[in-house]
Amino acid sequence: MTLAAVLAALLALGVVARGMGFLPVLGLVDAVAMLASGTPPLTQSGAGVALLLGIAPGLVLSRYQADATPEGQQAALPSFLALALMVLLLLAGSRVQGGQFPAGLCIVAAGLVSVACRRGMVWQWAGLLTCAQGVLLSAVMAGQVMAFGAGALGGLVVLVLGALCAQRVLPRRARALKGEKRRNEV
Amino acid sequence: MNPNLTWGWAIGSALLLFIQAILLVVVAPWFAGLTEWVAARLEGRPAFRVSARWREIRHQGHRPCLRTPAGQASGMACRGALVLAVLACALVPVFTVSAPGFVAPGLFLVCCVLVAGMLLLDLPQTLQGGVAAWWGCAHLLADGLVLPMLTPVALLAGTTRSLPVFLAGLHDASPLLDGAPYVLAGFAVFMVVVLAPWGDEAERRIACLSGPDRAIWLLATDCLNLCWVTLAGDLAWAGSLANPALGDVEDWLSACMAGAGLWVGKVLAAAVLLGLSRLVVLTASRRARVRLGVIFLFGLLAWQMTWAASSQPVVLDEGAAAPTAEPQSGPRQGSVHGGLS
Repeated sequence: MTLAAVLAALLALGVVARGMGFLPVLGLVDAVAMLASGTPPLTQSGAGVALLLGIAPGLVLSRYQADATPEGQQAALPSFLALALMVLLLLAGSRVQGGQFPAGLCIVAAGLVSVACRRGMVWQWAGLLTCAQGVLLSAVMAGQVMAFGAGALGGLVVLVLGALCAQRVLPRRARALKGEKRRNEV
Repeated sequence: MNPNLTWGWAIGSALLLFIQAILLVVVAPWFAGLTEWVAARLEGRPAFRVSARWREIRHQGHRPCLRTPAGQASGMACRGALVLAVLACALVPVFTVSAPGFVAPGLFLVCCVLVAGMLLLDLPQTLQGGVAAWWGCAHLLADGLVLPMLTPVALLAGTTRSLPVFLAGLHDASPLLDGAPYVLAGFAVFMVVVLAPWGDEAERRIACLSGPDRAIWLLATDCLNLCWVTLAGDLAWAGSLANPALGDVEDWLSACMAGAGLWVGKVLAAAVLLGLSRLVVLTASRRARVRLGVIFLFGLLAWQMTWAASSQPVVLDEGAAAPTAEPQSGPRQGSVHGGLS
């Protein structure tokens, strides 16, 4: 159990509470947690995929306006729900796990809560990517190559489909439009 | 008293406890001033000097005291709170733990003293009457519930061990690896201060106090806040505390010096974090709820993680001893258990 793994779980809570902004930090800490535990070839590729999943969505979304879907009345509730789920998960799994902190599982739980309880499209996308990062982390910690492959593939598919969806749904930002016009004039 | 404890170690421990208490009481207003300065800088307000808080306390101490009939009780409450705050300053290890066998309370008792001090500080507003009394009762409730919410942290520290023994057991736990749950526990304790009332809300709490009463209230609040912060720092990284069991007197004193330097670093970091937390805007009732929820859930997460790490073979028929009794040997036991299973 490393502090990076614990921090990654807490940053996943940040994604549930605040949205996309925490995703790059989550990717970074996730990569550090992978590098700190596991065997070399898997950890390095895992860290690379985690960084990609963390940073790419922010770059894609910087071309579009913010998703302004209003949230419900109890906006603080989902983060507490996710934290409570993590605690329950640990309570249930403490005797089975043999002394390991199931950080990946906690991140997956937080991502699922984000998908289920948030209304904004971008927020749900962030939740799905969080899930993918959690799967990657647990696969790297357990040294499961098949699970890692499936998690990485799923994460990349979610990344690409989410980017396409954002392109269809979200209005472009004024600055990006201006640059495009100038390019067309030239 | 433990028979292993010689008179020399006992006197040295008592002397250093005294020095630690004085240090906390003197530094507390400076810490509050520093927090205010950092917060003002981050918000872009004109910032007072770091010594402003200390000067205000001195200034208020010289002013005449105007007391309403209810003011007598308020003054008593303030003085009681200051006594508890100074007591808490003596109970919280700053740069060293006391020698093994020296009489010391457990973590839960220290938390009880701190919460009792906070409750006494809420009394003046409650005694005011009218709408202020309603708000005072709300503060009383919010501060009183902090203690039950800290139960997981107290369980993590063990119910039968004293705080120095617990912290000495954590001495070798690195906060990045096997000590990570204790960082969470420290965070839970730190949240007591982070989401406490401040600014206008704190001003409204002392609106009825004047003169020395107000000075005592301010000093007691600062002492309690610094105690919480120091306690959180101790839990998060106990390795910075000097341990008299590890060597002779010279080793201990040099470790004390290093521990004092590290404590200053921890306090500076805490001031920056507190200044950052002032940027979060929440309404009063919501902040109280968020504070209680965060303290409880983070404490529970921390306790649960140490419990999972120190998993022992489950013995159903002997009423299995509390697993929290020895989390300092957690990782080794965990690996043994993992190997067996």
